[in-house]
Amino acid sequence: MAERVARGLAAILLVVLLVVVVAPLLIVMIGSVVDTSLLGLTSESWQEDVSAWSWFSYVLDLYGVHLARSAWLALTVVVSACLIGFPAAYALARRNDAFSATVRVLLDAPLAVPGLTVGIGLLLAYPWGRASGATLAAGHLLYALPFFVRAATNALSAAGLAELEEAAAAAGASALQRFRRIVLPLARPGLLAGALMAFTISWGEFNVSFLLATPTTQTFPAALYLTYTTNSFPVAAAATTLFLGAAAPALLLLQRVAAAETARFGEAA
Amino acid sequence: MSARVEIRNLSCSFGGQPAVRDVSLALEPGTTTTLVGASGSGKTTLLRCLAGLLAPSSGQVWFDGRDVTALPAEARGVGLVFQSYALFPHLSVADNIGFGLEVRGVDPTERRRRVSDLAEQLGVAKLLERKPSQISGGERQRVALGRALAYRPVLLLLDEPLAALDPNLAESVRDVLLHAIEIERTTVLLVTHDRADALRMGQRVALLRSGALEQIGTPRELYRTPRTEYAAHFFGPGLVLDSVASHRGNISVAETPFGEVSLQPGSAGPVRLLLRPEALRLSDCEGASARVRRASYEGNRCRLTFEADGVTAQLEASPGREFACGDQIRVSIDPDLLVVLPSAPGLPRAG
Amino acid sequence: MGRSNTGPSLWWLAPTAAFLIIAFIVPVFFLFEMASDSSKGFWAELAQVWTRNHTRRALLNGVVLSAAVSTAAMLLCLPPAQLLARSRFRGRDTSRLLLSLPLAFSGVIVGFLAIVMLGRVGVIPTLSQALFGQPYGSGLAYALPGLFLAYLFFEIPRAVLSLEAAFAKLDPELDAAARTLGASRWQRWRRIKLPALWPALAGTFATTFAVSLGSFGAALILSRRFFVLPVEIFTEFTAFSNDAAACAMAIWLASISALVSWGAARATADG
Repeated sequence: MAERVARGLAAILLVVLLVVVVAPLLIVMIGSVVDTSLLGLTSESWQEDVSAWSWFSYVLDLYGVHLARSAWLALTVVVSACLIGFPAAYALARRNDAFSATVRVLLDAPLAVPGLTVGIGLLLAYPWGRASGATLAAGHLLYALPFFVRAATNALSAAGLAELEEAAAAAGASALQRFRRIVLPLARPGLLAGALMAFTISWGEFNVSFLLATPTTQTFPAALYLTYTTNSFPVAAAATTLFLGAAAPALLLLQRVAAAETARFGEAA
Repeated sequence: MSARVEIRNLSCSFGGQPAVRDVSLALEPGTTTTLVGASGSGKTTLLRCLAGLLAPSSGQVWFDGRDVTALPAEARGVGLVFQSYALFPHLSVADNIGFGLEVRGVDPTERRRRVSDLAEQLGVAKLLERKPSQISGGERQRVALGRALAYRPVLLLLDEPLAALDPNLAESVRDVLLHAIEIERTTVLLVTHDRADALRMGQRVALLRSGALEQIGTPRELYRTPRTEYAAHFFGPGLVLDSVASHRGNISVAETPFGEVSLQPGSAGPVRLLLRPEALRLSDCEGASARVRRASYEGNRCRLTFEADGVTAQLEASPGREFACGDQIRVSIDPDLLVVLPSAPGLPRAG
Repeated sequence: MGRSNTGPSLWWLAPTAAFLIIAFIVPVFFLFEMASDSSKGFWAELAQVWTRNHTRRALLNGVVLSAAVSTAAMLLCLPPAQLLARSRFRGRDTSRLLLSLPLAFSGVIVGFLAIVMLGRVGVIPTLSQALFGQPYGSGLAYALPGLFLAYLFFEIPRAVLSLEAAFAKLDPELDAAARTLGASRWQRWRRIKLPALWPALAGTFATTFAVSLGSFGAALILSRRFFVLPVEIFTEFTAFSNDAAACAMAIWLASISALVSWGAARATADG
């Protein structure tokens, strides 16, 4: 009886959370295509009878460059995270010494430090990197790397993988052969999850970006800020929906991959 | 292709603790040696050193007169069957078996032929397209064996190959294993903690105790003439009796609560005897009298716990007869199955 | 000693280590250097963050707000997290996906959403005007409750996912054993589940706290009457070029976050 009540409560809370999270998003998405004067949200109403999609094209006109830049930046971050983070993840999955432990702590350290702080530090240390956007990418990577490495390390320390590598070595496979035929195929889902996470983090990053951005390196979240402060709701809504449109598929894919990963390793011999 | 394997003064630590201590062992080409010992005695560690997966802290490994101690696993040409099989879950059975050939760059047609030949021999020919998760435990064991044998290793190492199988399955897999070893004629080192397997699966048996080699010899030697009390108890625990051997004419005899027993001629003085259940027998008329304390039926035999002169022992009787607590029986000792333990270290063994 | 022969060497960690030194350690040094590069000196700069009323209030606001949000997030998300981890129901994966959507958002967007819902002419006031004749919640977004809700919205996905992972790691056999021994639901919670979950709970709290404390975007959009430190840092740095003061405040923020993380780790060290 108490069991039922507790579960009911949990279910109710779950629904409440879902509503709280989804409702605003839905409203924004609807607001970008529907005339919102009904809701009284436009403080500055659009007189012309514009069709829904023209707001999207308006946003793209104004901020399309930012969108592209954010996408490009996110891609760079993902690739960098994979290249730098994968060797580290492999080492952390297999090794257990003091140096590895230090690297692990250091990797997670930026997460405890506010993005603003990191941004200021980067700005002071490498003022010359600002124009090219290199410091911006570094800031993004600082926050994306721990998540990628965590996901990759989990995939690589999956039960039995170490032993499979040994079996491959005993059968005569060189390090490269082992990597290509055994490690990569089996760790792929986890690596993919890490890459998607890195993408999502970079795509939504604002704190560091806002501080480090120059007119030529403004990211899309910063552009979003501009739409919010210019007080035209339809534009802001359209921009937000666009932002969500790019992030949601990544998150969806992340969930799928995570599910596939647990299924796949459940069938290890 | 089989090599003469020499292990010279090998010592190895695992997890900070010394696991193998100064072990020296030689494996003749084409022979099967079983490596046996209690859990934690260092058997698996020794195996991994031989495979090249673990670097020893001192000592050497030689294959056919070549020092391979510094060679990594992938260069040693050793076949290793893991206790958990370690089959690659994302590859088919055929790809698993052929893996060693694939990484050596063997021609695909040649590879396919060898794989199907081996699969045929091991009885898994119908499973070649399946994945490891789709076959049974016994089948996985055979696939693991095939994978290790495919590239004709100079040394085949098996880590507790039958431990995960139930007795009936183990029976059939054991036969397949012995048959394959016979055909391939490679040098084999087989690790097991089962003493029956240790005695029946190899031409020689090596007993490991806390990382050191306790004794090595033929199965008969280890069972009948163990050199230490530990070895004696390992291959069959039983009752330890202290007695005195004396001459009687040209034979030696010793007195026990279960009757007189003859020993090696020439034995004299204090002796330590190990009476394993199989050494004690029910006799109809002669023999010492004893009283049954407990009888347990085990299908193919009846284990009797009995007592005479205040000493309790066990024997295995045929299951046909029924026994009850308190029954009077007559027992005698089979001198061929009696084990005379070495006396205090340093002193010569009686007989 | 017996060393595994197929494992990676330390060199595999080199790229990451190098990156962290260049992109993190070095900037932190510069931060400290800049904070001491004023006429007042390092410690005076730090002290002034506390002595100036404005900044002290902003600091305390942030700490109290973050603590409140973290506590609320934990309490609200604990039962649903257990549900997601344990039960199998239709829509479980969808729920998880929906709840994790805000992960992609930065604070700015959340601030915007807060305005949409609770601004002067937000959805909730408009609805309540239509239903009850009074615009309840109008303008709430710009005050403490609005900020609180915005931060909560931001933290919910992190809290839920982190707690769900913790619940998933609990061994159901231990609970079953406790049941056969006669323990009631509450007893099982108190003696078996809570102790096992404690490290994850502390860790989640610490992370939620740190993220809230350092959150910048939402505060930028929403704070009109309620001030928090990140916005102060930003204005000092960009508008007033008062680098030393900005760095000092940044160090305060980072230190508090680090302290809370360390405290959480220590509190669960024996567990």
